[in-house]
Amino acid sequence: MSNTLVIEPITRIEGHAKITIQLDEQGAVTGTQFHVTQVRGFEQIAAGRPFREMPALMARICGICPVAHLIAGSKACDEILAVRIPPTATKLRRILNLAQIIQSHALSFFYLSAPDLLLGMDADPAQRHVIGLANADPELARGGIRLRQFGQQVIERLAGERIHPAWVIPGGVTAPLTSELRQEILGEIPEVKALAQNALDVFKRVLPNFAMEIESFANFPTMFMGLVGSDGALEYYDGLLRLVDADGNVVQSAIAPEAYEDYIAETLEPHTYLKSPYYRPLGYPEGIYRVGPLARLHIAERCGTPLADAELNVFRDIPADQRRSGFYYHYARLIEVLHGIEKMEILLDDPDILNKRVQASASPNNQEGVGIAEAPRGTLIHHYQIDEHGLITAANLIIATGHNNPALEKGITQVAQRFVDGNQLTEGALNRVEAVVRAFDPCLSCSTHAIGQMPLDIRLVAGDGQLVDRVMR
Amino acid sequence: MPSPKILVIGIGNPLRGDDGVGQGVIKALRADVQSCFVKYRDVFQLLPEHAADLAEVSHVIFVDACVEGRPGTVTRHKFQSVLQAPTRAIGHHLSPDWLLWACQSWYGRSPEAVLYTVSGCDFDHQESLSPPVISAVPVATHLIKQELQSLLSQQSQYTGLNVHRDA
Repeated sequence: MSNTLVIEPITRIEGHAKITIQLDEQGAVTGTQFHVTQVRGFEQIAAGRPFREMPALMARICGICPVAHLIAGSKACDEILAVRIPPTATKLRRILNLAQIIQSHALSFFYLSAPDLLLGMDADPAQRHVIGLANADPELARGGIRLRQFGQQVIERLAGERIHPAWVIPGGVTAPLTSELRQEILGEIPEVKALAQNALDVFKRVLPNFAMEIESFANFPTMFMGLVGSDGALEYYDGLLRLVDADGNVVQSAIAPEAYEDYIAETLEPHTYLKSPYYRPLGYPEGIYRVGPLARLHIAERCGTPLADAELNVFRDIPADQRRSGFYYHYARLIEVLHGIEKMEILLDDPDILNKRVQASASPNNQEGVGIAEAPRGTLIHHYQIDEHGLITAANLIIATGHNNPALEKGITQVAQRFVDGNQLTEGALNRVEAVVRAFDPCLSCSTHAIGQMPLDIRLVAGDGQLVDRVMR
Repeated sequence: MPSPKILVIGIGNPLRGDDGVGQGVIKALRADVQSCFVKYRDVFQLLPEHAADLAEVSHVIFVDACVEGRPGTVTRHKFQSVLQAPTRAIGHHLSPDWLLWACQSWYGRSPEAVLYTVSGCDFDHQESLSPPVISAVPVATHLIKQELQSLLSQQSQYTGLNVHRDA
C-alpha cells in the first residue's frame, strides 16, 4: 500500500506551493511533485493593451522583483521601437537592476534562509525565522536588514517607488540622476560593502556544518544558463545567453535574445501551473538547466569587480562536482550582493551618469521585440508582438523560476529520498525538503512571503485515505 | 538640516477599500503638516526592515485601518514599553508591537509610539473608501496634527525653532 505525504504550504518562499511525496509500502520515498497552485494569466491580460503600457503592466506580476519585469519589458519595447537608448539611461537602468538584486538577495538570504543556516535545520521552528536570527546574531540580522533597506532605498530614490516604480520606460528612463542623490548613494557604499563581506565571512564559517545538505541539495549535473557580457563577465542587463554543461563546457556561447525560441522550449506537467522550460536541442527532460545566481557564477568567466572576483576565486576552489550543488545558491547570492554594490559604485563614479539625456523617442518600427534581463532568480524573457495600431497581439514571458522548475522538482525528490522516512516523520527532515526549495528562491506568485510560523500541516495519508501520521506547527 | 525625529507611518493597501485609510490620512497630513522633524511613510504592511526606521526617531505614529468597532470610529492607542516579544505568531508581516519589540531588541532603543486606527467596513477590491471612513479621515488627520504640533513644540524647546501652528 503506497502513501502520499503532503507539505502545504511551503514556508518562507515567495508565493504559494505545495509538495507531495509518494512513499512505498516500506515508507521509502519513491517520488515527489512540486505544485504551484495558482494561475495568473498575465500573458492573456496583456492581449489588446498598447505596447507602451507593457513594462508598467508586467511589473505588476511581482512585488519582489518588479524592476526586472520593468527592465525586460522596456527592453522588448525598445526593440519594437528599434531605438538605441542613451548610454546614461542604460547605466541608470543597470543601477536600478543591481539595487533590486541586492534587496531581493538580502531578503532571500537573511529573512528566508539564514534562520536555517545560522540556527540549524533542526532548530525549533518557533525560533527559526528572521526574529529568531536577530536574537541569535543581532549584528548579522541588522546587516541583512540594512542591505535590503539599501537596495530598496536606491530603487525608491532613483525610481520614485520601492514597489512598482514606473521610471523605466520604452526608450530610456523618465528622469536623470541628480548629483545630490549620486553622492548620497555613494556615501552609503562603504557601509553596505562591509556588511556584505561580513555576511560572506559568516556564511563560509558555517558552511562545514552543512556537508549532508551540500551533497544532497540538487547536486546532480545540469546545464546552467544566463547572460554574459561580450567580455565573458557577469552580466545582468545586456549581453547574450550562454549555456554551459555541468563540467563547465560551453554548450551555446552566444544566443541572441531574438533567437531564444530556437533554443528554449516549454512543456507542461499536469500537476502544476508552472511551465517547465528546457533546452530544445536535447528535448525534455534531458535538456533541463538551471538559472540564477549559481548558474551565473558557473557561466561567467569573472565577476568584473575586485572584491567579488576574489570571492569567486575562493568559491571556485570547491571541487567542480560539489560546486554545482543547489545549496551553493546561497553562497552565489552573497557574492552577487558584493558584486552588485561594487558595480553600482563604478557606475555612479562614471561622470556620464549625470548626463541629462536619458530618453529616446520613436514610433514602432518593428512588430515584435524580445527583452532579456537577469532578474535576481535568473534569466527573464519578455517577448511581445503588436499589430499595426501598436496593440499587443501576443506576449510570452519565461520567468526565472520557470527555468528552474524541472531541476527544483528533481532536487526535492533527491532531498526527500535522503532525509524523509515515511515511518517516522521529523520536522527537521521536512524542513530540509522546504529548504532545498528556498535555496532556489522561487518566486511563485510574488504576493506573499512568510516569516517563520505559518500554519504548516503535513499529513501522511494511506492509499485508502486513512491518516497515518500528522505533524503540525 | 536636522534629521526627522517623528515618523508617521500609514499602513494599508489603497486597492482594498477601507484598508487604504492609513495612506489616505498620510496624504492629508503631508499637505497640512510640513516640518523637517517629521517624516511620513506609507506602506502596505510593516516589515522587519522598518525596525531600522524606528530606531532613528524618538516618536512614531502608526495609522492603520481596523475591522472592529463602528465604521468611521477613530481610536488612539498608546504603546507602553515593549520589553517582551508579543506572544502571538507572526505571519508575513509584523504588527506595530512586534516591530517595536524588534526595534528595542535589535537596536537597543525604540521610540515612543501611538497607533491611530480607523474602523472600516468595506475591504473589497476598490480604490475608494466607504462613506463613514471618508468622514473619519479629517477627524483622524486633525487628531494626529494636534499630536504632531504638541511633539513639535517639545522639539522647538530643544532647537529654538518656531513651529507654525494653525488655528
